[in-house]
Amino acid sequence: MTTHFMASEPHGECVQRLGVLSARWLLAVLWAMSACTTDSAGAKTIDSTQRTEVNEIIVRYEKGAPMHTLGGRPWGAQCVTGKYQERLIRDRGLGARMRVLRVEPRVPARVAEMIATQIEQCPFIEWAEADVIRFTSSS
Amino acid sequence: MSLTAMITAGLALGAAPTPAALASESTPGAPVVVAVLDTGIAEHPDLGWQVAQDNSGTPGGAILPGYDFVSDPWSAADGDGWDSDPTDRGDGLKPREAANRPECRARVSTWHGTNVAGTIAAQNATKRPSLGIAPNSRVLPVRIMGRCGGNTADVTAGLLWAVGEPVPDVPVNPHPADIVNVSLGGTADRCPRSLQTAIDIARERGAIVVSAAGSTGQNTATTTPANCEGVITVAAVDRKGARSPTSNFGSEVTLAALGGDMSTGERNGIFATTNTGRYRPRDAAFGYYQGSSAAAARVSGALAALAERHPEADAAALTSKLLSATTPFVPGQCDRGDGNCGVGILDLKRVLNSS
Repeated sequence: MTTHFMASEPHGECVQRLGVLSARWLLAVLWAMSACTTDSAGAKTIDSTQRTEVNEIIVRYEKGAPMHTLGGRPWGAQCVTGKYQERLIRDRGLGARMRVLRVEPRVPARVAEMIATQIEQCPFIEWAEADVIRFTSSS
Repeated sequence: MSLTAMITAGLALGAAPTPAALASESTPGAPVVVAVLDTGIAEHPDLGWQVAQDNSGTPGGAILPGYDFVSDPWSAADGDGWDSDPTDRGDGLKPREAANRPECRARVSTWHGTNVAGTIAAQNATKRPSLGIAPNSRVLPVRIMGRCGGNTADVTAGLLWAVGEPVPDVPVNPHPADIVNVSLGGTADRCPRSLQTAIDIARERGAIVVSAAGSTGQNTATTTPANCEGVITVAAVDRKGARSPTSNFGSEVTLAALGGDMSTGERNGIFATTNTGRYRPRDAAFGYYQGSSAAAARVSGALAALAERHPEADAAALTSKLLSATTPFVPGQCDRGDGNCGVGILDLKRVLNSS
């Protein structure tokens, strides 16, 4: 099992890669989150004009990540605009002031809370997939 | 997804029973639940949804208690974000409203969710020509589009809720869907990961996800959720069996169904439950709509009818029965060279006459 965590290049986002495996996953989460705090503290500052106001985030598994659940579920992170009123912008580092909306797939409440706490302390979260797609009815 | 891939994916679901099958074990004759992820639901006697003077909706008839996942209060037009009332407030946009929103275009309200719900489960309470393909099924209205459409996060949350997944700050859906109809589309060169994850979870829960191919006349490779793995993607054909001019097409298409072509006359559309309001809801009515939305709704209705007739069948078995109830295309009806319309055209009579 490997868990790594790094600051990504474009805007200094705190790119997270954590995984869950068997009984050791809780330690992995703790380790990854502590690494997040450390890395993000040294992350580059993004241009404020490139920052989207965000206050909610969905943490989920992302395909292709080095870690995954026992069931093979990918994970990742997705942010939702502040007050839900602005569309999101792809591939941009996003500021703090966010709360974890949910963790996908489900994890025990205690762990979800821990992830939430740590993410909320992380200044930059990877923009894994911006919500730029506008859905309309197909008629 | 190709037919082969579709069947393989369906079979890969293994022995996991559908919620319908599970329900039938504990509650004999429990109605099949079809979630309609759409613009919400408007009052209509053939559906059973009622709206009080304070604009609050009440389920009844074919409609179960649903949820409103439109997070943008402006888009929702109901003064708030997520709430428990999936009443369709209208997705119409007046020209002066659209002027300040370049990403939106002015139009009258579509009452799209009410159209789709009627195609699936209208109960003919008004003694007008019967619409509902599976009138004994129940529609779970999940509002994920409002004015100017919807976004990935809301669609994803709505889909998860529809199949019984816990969503924070939202009561768990007590009526998990057996079938999820998503007659909507966005442009994306791949399925959004969050949406794909939600679809995977829905399938793991035994649900079948039916998506419109899209009605922009383009290849489904760039239309989502039509391009997501594990969904049944439906293209639209006209009454002669040819691809409707606006229907998308491509290797992702699983099958086609009647979606109408109103360019040749309104009555060549699909008769549906609707509303007379131009922008905001007014009176229940009947009308016509067209496109892969209608085609997908017909497939969802057909799956519900099959699930009623075969309560023991799991998602893979129902999908197999659906695909076997199709008529192959006549050469030239959908062979533009860069795609196709799937295995054939849904033969609804075969579905409804099956035992």
